[in-house]
Amino acid sequence: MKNTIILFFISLVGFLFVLQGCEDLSVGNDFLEKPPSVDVTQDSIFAKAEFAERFLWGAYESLPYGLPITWGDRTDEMGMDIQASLSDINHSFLNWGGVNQLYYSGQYTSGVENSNGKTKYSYNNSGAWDGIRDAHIFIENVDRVPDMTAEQASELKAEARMIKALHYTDMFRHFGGLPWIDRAYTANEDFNVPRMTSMATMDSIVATIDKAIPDLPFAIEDKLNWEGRFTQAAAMGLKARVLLFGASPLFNDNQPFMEGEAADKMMVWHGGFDSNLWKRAADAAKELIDKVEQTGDYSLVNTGNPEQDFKTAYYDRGNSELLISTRARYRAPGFWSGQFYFFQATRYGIGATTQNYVDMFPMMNGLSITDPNSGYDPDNPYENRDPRLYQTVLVNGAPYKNRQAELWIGGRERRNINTNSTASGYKLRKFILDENSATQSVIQWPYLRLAEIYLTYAEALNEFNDGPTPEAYLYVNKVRERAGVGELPQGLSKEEFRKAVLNERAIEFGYEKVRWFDIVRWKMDQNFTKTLEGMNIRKQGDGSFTYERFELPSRYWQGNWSPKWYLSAFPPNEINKGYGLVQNPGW
Amino acid sequence: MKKFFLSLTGIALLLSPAIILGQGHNLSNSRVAAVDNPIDLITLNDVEAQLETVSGQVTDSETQELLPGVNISIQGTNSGTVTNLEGEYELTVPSLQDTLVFSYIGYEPRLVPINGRTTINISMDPQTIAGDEVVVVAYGQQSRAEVTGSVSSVTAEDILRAPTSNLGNALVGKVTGLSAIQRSGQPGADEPNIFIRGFGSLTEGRSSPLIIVDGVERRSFAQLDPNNVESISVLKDASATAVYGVRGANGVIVIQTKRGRTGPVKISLNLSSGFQQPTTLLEFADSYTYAQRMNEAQLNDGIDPSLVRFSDEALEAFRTNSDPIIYPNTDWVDYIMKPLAFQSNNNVNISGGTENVRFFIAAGYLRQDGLFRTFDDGYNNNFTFDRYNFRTNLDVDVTPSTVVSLTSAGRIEQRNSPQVRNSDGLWRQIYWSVPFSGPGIVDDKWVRNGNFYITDEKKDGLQSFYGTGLTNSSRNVLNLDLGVKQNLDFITDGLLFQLKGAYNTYYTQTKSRSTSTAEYEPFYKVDVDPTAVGDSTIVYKKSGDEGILGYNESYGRDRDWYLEARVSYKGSFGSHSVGGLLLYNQRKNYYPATFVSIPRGLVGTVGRLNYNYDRRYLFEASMGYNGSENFAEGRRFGFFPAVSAGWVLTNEKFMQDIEFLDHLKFRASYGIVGNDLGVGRFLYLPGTYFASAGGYNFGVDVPQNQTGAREGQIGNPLVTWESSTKQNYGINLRILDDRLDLSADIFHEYREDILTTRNTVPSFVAATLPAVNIGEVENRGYEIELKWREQRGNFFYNIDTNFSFSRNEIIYMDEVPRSEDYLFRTGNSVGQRFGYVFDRFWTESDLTDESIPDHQYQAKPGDLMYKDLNGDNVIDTDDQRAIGFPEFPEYTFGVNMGFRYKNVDFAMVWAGATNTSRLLGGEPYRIAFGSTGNRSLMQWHADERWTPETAETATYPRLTFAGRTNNMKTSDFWMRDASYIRLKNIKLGYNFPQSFLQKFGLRNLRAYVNGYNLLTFSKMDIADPESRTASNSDYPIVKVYNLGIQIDF
Repeated sequence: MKNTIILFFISLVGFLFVLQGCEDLSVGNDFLEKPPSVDVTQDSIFAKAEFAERFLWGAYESLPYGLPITWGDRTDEMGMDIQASLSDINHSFLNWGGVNQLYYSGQYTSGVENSNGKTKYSYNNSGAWDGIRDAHIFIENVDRVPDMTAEQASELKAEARMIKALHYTDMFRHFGGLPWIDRAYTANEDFNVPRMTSMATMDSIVATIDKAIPDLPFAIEDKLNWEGRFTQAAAMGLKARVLLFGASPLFNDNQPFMEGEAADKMMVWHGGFDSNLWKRAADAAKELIDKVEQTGDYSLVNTGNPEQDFKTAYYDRGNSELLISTRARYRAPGFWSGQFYFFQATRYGIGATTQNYVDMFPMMNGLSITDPNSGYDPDNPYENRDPRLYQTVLVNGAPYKNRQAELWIGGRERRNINTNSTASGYKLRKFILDENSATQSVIQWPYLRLAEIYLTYAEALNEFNDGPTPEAYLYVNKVRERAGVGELPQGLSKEEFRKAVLNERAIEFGYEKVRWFDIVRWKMDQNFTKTLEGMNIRKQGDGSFTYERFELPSRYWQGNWSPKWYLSAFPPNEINKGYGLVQNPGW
Repeated sequence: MKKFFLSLTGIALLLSPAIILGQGHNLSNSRVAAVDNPIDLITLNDVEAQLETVSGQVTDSETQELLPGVNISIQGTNSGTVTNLEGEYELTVPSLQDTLVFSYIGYEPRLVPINGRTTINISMDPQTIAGDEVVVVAYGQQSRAEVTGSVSSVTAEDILRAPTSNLGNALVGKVTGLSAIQRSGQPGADEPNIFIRGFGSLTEGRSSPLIIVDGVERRSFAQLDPNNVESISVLKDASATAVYGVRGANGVIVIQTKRGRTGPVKISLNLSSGFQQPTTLLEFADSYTYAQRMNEAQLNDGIDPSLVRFSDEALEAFRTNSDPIIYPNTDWVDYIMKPLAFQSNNNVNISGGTENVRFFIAAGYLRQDGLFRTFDDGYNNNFTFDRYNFRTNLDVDVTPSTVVSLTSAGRIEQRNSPQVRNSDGLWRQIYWSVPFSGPGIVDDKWVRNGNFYITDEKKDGLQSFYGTGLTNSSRNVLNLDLGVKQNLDFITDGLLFQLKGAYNTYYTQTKSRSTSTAEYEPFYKVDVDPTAVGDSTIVYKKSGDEGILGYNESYGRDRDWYLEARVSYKGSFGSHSVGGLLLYNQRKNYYPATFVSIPRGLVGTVGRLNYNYDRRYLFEASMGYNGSENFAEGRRFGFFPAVSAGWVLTNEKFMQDIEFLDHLKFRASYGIVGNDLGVGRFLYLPGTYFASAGGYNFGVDVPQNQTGAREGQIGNPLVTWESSTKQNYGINLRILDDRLDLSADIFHEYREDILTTRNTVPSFVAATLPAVNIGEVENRGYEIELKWREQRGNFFYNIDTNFSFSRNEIIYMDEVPRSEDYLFRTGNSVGQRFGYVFDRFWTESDLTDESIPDHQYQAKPGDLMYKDLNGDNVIDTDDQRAIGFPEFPEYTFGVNMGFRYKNVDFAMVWAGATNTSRLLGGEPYRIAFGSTGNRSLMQWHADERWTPETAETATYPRLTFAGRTNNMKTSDFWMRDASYIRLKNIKLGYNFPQSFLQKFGLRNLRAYVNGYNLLTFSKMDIADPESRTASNSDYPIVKVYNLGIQIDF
């Protein structure tokens, strides 16, 4: 009996050990697990060139893309909408997107910036600060990578500086003056980083770019594998873009666009007009243009087939005029994929081009449609137009999916008068092409093209010299020639020339995030208040068409204009954190 | 030093069995012999004596039922017997002057001197609640009279009243301090979220209570078979939970399963079946109404009447229902769901035991069908739930002083559900559907209209699941516990050593069987074939294909083990009673969610001392000392002490004369408890980086991205647990011969070091910030329980009411300063919602009224007007304040009442909650036509919308798309009072009379009907007050009608 019991207990104790499997039976502190020892830290990243480079590639991921891609902070452009819908070139019928909910309805307020990811630029969630932090971490650490030469390190550092400069450029254009971050902060520092003046912000961006320029190659040598990295040309181009914005009347004027604390502190204007700023912009552009001509590394795509060349210039990777091209994917997936929501969003109505925009395209002969000599036929309005129209906007009768686009009411593209995707009578074509498999080819976002630098140069020359110089004509005409629409008429006044350049920018860079900033920097308030139109095309029994312009749904600011819309609001929470942010006027 | 001490205790306690056991057996040798051969013993001792025989019958004093299995022993000896099925006994006694001891679990023991009689019939009194019943507390049991902490308990009988498959739902309304929300009625997924004394932490997820089943921490108790549960205790204050240390701050639910008792074998069979029915279903507008309202909305927005979405032709077709294929009118909720779904719950248990071995063996099978209609597509993709439970609880007295307990329990849970077609979620998509999207299944074809006759995308009710296949998951849970209890009386009386090991495994196999199905789009023939002029027969265009049922499986696994050793002592010296407990435990959990390869370990030491003087002055001190590897070396161990005291006034001499007062006790407790729930693992490590994360696509046509690396979360070497300082003050009172029993508690909790991320760091820092221990929340409330029970002849009745309140307040959360005082979250409850304040609907005359604040929107009559809270004449985000109550009720209450009269018994439980709000969120609840403008329209939107005619009575703004941003803002307009009173359970039973039973040799036969959630009174009429009213809708909550029979052999 006794033995049985003892046996039983021995087996019991044995059982308890078995319970533990192969684990050691330990007690107390020894029983607790050790933390993982294979953790990757900053030291391990910057212990090898390969990992350090990866960190920089990770920072590249923060770069902006101009189309909505997928739900998420950085890639969810305006709640699946596009910036063009804020300008006069496009109207959005996506009633749940940020454009309709916040801007057309007038419901955008500073408070919205606290949380809503559907605004045109989110101070908190655009990814800019992440990119800037990564750039700083990289710059602060790359020098200690043992298997990297100082030369390699400085080139990569220059790229990191460009990532920072690009984000600051975008923020500068949306907010004006900004707090300037000069290192990667830890979580427990004194965060007294007040907002700088617009001038200081611009100068800081330019200084950052200038510091990067000498260490970058002018062009990518191994373009096939590495296109998309920053080059000297990219840096010089970005510099021209910042300087042009800073030279424009929004900031460079004798009075601020709106009174307020930020205006008093010169965070949203430079405090007075200085024509020299136009010269700085012109010089920056000229510097790049000269070097392009001297090295032959970049050029406008011009094979003599204007329509095709224009498409190549904005769509194809590796084309000769891309200065900065950003990437979100390799190829676009299928139309209904949640991984590239842009296609679906266009079907829901984000890309309804306005009649006003279509009217901006001249005839093939270069003459505006309002010109009596242009040959424009209101009963056949899409014939013989600037070829760029056909690659930017889908118009009735244009070749589409191996047939003709049917944009008449009842046609295949506009089944009903209220079909969202074509409710203006037009549909965006840029970046969508034929909505066939070609659309799913290799894609990129043309952040900055050489053509823009040409037009920037022309515009700045015209402003600085109080009228167009031959050089100014030359570079506008370069862009027009590629499009096949001939030269601008000579003898334009300063104002006429400016108008022509801005029109040229609008039609060359439609949907490329240029138009909004042009309207803003020139304070073109009439572009906010004017009536926007669409086109109802009806097919007659005999197969002919009638064209009837109609008013598009009105936008809040059409009747309630305030210059406050020129700049975005800072999130009030961010201001309340008390590190020196000042709200923009009107918000 | 502390660590060393802890290790030492652990080793000592683990090794001690070997030492103790050897000695134990030597010492108890003689007793072993005595028990093994009781006959010998008696023969030896009483060979000379004249043996007498006493016999008789034992009955229940209240019901007069015969009691089988009553223990009868001769006082001072080991000999005795038990009553047979007829409650009869016969016992040989050495002398007719001895005293017999009658004892039976659940009854008051009786000492009956024989006094020369040979027939003794006695009746035994059931233990009343007023008596000294025992409650389960942390690591032990305690007499209720001596409890100084805050503990509520529920008995097996209470639990079994509700025909709910889920034990969690059976608790509602029965105890104080417990609040629960059942959000879903889905078979196998209807578990409520339970909180004890509300939220103590900053988030719901960090506030969940600890679940202890049979002394071991387990994941959940919801799927235990209610038939196998002996009792459930809810431990609320620090003195009750400090011993759980770093796990105790959110309160603890302790479940004890049934175990066998010495006595004849009892077989109990419980069979029940019933029907489930949704409590409330959402109502949607029909096609005709929808089309009218859609056109109305468009006209409101100024669209040209010729351009509205629904033509007159379509409207007419909807009105007359002339063409159910092209212009259908399908009520999808009705189409998809059956009115009733079956459920059945069957359980058999066998229990009993000899002197040395006691057992409880149970097996159960539960089946719940879902409410989905099954279409004939060759497989069942309805929701179903099958649960097979088994349990063997075995206690063996291997020596008179040693009990070995084996608990082996397990279950298989099988859940079936349809596959969901895309990531938008099943219910969300069903509630998006419009009545004219299609007629459903026609001639085995899924007919779905395209955009040809009615423009725009149309969500179809079958779209989310029809023809997609099914998901079938099988989850096996196995719990194995082995315990040894060694009585150390040979050292000193009342000393006990216990060792316990537990092993739990969870294994899930999910079979995913996907397929596809074809859709058929209907057309009039003329529209497909232009030559068929005027031919309006319907032809179908097929798209997609019938697929083959695929097969794919995935697995989930989880296991943990637990080891515990303890020494306890209980003794009394004159008027002094002393108890003590010293316990060491460790627990390891495998495959945690993060760092899967590194199991989680937790070690703890528990100490407790009880002392009472004359049962008048009660004291208790307890502590938990826990270590967790979640915290840095040197900061791993936490000490959580608690003290409590009680004063039983009625045991004072000066109180003896107060006749009506039976018991009066004051209680107070104070202590510190911890919470490490939701603390990420190894947060103390230095900031991490990811060497391969994401990538960037350089180059012209390079499919492969360049791999990226990025910074992860910054480390926080100082991370630690939340700590909660709790106070509890209580009173227990029984008066009027124990008929009225009152217990009341008031508590205060201050929780600090709540782990949260800093909010005031500028966004330009752009780092993934570490969680830091900075949050502070205060939580306070009270609980009252009042019970009345009375026996009047054959009629016994009881009314128990309970009432609980808790409210918390955020003291600190590193909140960004706000522009207005009322915007601060700090100072409000956790989960407090903020929104605009509805003023009234805009009227025509308001449009020109300059005094109305600027809504930054061109309002029209029938839009929502908000109040300008800060008086700046502009409605913006600064005009939002706290609106409504949090989702979890601040007040909960319950009324349990019942009676027993002869063979009939009746019981019902009403449960209620108030100070709880639901915010109607998103689709379909708030936004007419859904966020995309082409989804469903709820009936109340259609009926209650503002129009110039209904301006006075409207409860929904005018239909508009343009005014949506303004009207759909989160405001108190969308806040609903979710207070409710529910008939949670009701049960009526009939016990067949003894005379009837005897014919069949049954011990007991009982038939009953019961129900769950049968009646609900709430101001919320569009949805169930407990359901989710946001886009992520759930399966409807159900009520249950049930019929059952219980047979005991």
